[in-house]
Amino acid sequence: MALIPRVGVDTLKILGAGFARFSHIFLEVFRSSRPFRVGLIILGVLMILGIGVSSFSPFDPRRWYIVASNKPPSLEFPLGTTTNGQDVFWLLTWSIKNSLIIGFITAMVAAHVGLILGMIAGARGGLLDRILMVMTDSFVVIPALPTLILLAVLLRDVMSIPLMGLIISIFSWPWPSRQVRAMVISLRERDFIATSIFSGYGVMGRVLRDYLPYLLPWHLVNWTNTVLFAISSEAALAVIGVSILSEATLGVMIYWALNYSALFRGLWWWLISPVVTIILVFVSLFLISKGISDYSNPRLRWQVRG
Amino acid sequence: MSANTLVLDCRNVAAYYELDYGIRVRAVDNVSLSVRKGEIVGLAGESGCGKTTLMRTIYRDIAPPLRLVSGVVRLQSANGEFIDVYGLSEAELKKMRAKVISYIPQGSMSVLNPTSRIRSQFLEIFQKYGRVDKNEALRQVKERLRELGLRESILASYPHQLSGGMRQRTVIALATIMNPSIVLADEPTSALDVVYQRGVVEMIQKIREMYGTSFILVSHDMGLHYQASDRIAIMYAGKIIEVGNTDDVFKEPLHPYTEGLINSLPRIGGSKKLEGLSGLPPSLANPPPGCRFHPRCPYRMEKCSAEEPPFFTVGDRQVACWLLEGK
Amino acid sequence: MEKNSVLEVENLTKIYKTGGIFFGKKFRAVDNVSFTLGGDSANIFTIVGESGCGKTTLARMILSLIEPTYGRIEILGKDIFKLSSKERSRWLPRVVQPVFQNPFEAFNPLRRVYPYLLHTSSKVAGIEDKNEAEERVNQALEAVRLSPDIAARSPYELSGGQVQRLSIARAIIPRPKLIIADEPVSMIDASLRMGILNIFKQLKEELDINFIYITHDLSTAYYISDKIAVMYKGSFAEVGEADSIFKEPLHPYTQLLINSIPRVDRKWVGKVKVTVTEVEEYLLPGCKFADRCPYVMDVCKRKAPPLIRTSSGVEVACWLYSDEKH
Repeated sequence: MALIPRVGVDTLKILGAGFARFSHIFLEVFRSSRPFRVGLIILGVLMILGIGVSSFSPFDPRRWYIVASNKPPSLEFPLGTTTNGQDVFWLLTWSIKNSLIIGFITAMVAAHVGLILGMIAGARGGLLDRILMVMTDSFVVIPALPTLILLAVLLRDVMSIPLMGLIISIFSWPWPSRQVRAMVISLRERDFIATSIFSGYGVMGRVLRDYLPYLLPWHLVNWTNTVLFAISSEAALAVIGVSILSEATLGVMIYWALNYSALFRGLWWWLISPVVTIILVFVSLFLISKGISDYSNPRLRWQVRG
Repeated sequence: MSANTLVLDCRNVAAYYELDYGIRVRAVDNVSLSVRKGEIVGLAGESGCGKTTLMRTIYRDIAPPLRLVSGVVRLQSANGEFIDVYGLSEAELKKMRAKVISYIPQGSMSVLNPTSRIRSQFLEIFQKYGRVDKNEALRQVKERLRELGLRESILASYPHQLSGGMRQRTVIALATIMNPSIVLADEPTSALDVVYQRGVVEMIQKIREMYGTSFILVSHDMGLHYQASDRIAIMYAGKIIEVGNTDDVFKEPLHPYTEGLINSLPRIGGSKKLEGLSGLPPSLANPPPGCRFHPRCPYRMEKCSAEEPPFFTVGDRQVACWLLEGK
Repeated sequence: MEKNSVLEVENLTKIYKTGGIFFGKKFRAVDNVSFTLGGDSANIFTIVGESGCGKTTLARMILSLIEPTYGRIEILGKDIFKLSSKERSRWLPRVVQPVFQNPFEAFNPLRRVYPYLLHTSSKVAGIEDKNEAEERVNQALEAVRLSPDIAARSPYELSGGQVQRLSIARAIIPRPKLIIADEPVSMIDASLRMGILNIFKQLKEELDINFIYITHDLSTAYYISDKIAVMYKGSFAEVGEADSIFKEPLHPYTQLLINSIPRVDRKWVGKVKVTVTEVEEYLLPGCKFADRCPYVMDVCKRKAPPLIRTSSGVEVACWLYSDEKH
């Protein structure tokens, strides 16, 4: 099958063009959409906290009884401390990092697997299409949350942050894949695809040159939504106690805070910090994805520009 | 009323699209056009020459960025007075519509509501503009359909159940049910096949004969104008460049653009090699100085690029070309 | 089979199903169409018909973009639906090329036009040397009278007429035997149409390319065709030399059509009868024109007429011209 592109000058050129289109969309959206800019700023602050600031922590914030317990926010402990003697601020920075890592791993794997399988199924059609769609459909009908719980329990001993991202990926690619396939099939009927066929472009050429540029804005939206889905899935697993409870993630923080009845005992800073952070992550990703989808929907774009 | 009474009179109408960055698209520029009672006036021109914008300007169906820059559009109302369309209030304008002037935009499918039966679309017009009860309205609709040779059964159908030709004829029946004195029909036949085209034209002619309705028939198809219209106005790049009786214009086109257009039409039975005009129509945002046709004109003179030609009157024809100066 | 036929179409039928599984109706978009194209010199074969008569479906089948329900299409003696996938992607574009109705749909609006031309030259025409490939592109641009710098732009920077010429230039790069042009001038301004049709005539004579010109416009059909097929609701009503069909139309539908052309030299006489419905008529067992036909006979409603060859060489699908008695 000529599905794997031969790596050569041509491929590099197409990738270069793809990158150029990506930056074009990015700049265009940045220029035209205020929600996108606001979302990007919030996400930027969170990323600075999670990736930059977290590495300056004076100790491993996951360890228990390293600082005094149950202290409210003060100059020494900006967000207070937990019953287990953890510094909430440093714990939060680590949690942001790990939650974002889970989100990004899932988005990198699931969004791209979905995109590639959907494009190939749609562009090639025939037997390959049918096989891929049977596969996709069987993943669609498996109930996600119970299976995730089962997998998380089974893989408890080897579980790590990246593995968590991969497990969530299993349930995040089928729907995008179906949608990509549907879009490709509607594009396939357009005259310019026939022109490409009669200009000697093979399936791969059409996928890269014709379908991909059309799908890119949609793909960026899907990518952000997958990050969102992954972070919330991990949080859901953590709250019912099947995530990696020794790690620092936003979900695990909420789990322990609930477990120690933080709110009831007046330790509001312990629970409020991760909850507000999760809400900020959601809002920022939502604004970013809204900005891109407004751009990719030309009818809305006219309204935006008046 | 004498046969020569005007029902519509446009004087020096200019309508521009005013866009960002100070771009002005001069879609209609200094156009004068009048329509007499019971007359079918053809408006011909290529896509993007401003035909549709002119229709919308006459109907006062314009919204920013499109703006009337100058000129007057006057209509004769029911009591014989001339009324400035742009001097009316919204309520007065609404009263004029359907009863005095009616507009059929391009694409019949977009005019008819796909979710309601033809019957209710007729009744809706009566509710909006007329004040008769439902049975009386229905009786009038049925009578009108019979007069126009349409089957009564279409009233019970949804638009998609009718063929394209039937749909277009239904739209025309809808637009003329309140007996307006003038109907603006924008490309009423463009999506139809020749047989249906002919059906639509025959219906328009019938309405004109029976009720004395005037029409402005917008089309890019010169053959249609030859068959359907009494007078023809040729539009090029936002301006009307020639107006005259249809037969005269086809027999002896005076403006070089009209000449090129008519000579490039294939004739059945002829075997002459036909040449299209060279070059492209200009951008309306940045039209050439002087006569807008001069870059493509085979008879171009020095004066053409410097000064815009006024209308020269030749018999009952008006032509905007320097070639006719002093003739 | 004729020895030098370029295209041979036999009993070509495409059935679409509308509605549900149980109460669905079958809709014959193309119904039992057969014809041959080719001969000593290239021809322009025009298929005329109203919108929805199946002419575009027919075109897309010849381009192997959709598969027929049954029937056979042979190009240069090869059945195009029995080609290996390699032959279909390599050989087919070398012998047959499309030109589409909307020039702005024919090229991906997110891409420039020139890469299409160059790719056609190197991959379809098989010219490996880059300079020679560019040379072939320039020749094609010259043939449609465009300067090379126009091809370097994006489609939206150009006018419809220019993009349509680019589309034709691309199609002639591999020097195909056959070009399928589906309504190529219907979206082009009247003053530029003739320029494009003249290019077709010139390509036919100079490069020996056969054309299937698909249109609803009879005047342009008369202007460029050698042979004309009149299509009505999926089938050919009449096939023959352009001159004889226009001079002496035999099928009642052709007569109606030719009498309804908005000519610029003669006004219409009399009135025309127009039908109400469309899709239902496809389901009639007999002649699909029967309910509109002024000469309708009993047999017309029962049995579909075959194509009957008349003494003038024209083939007509009408019982009026049959010797069979019923």
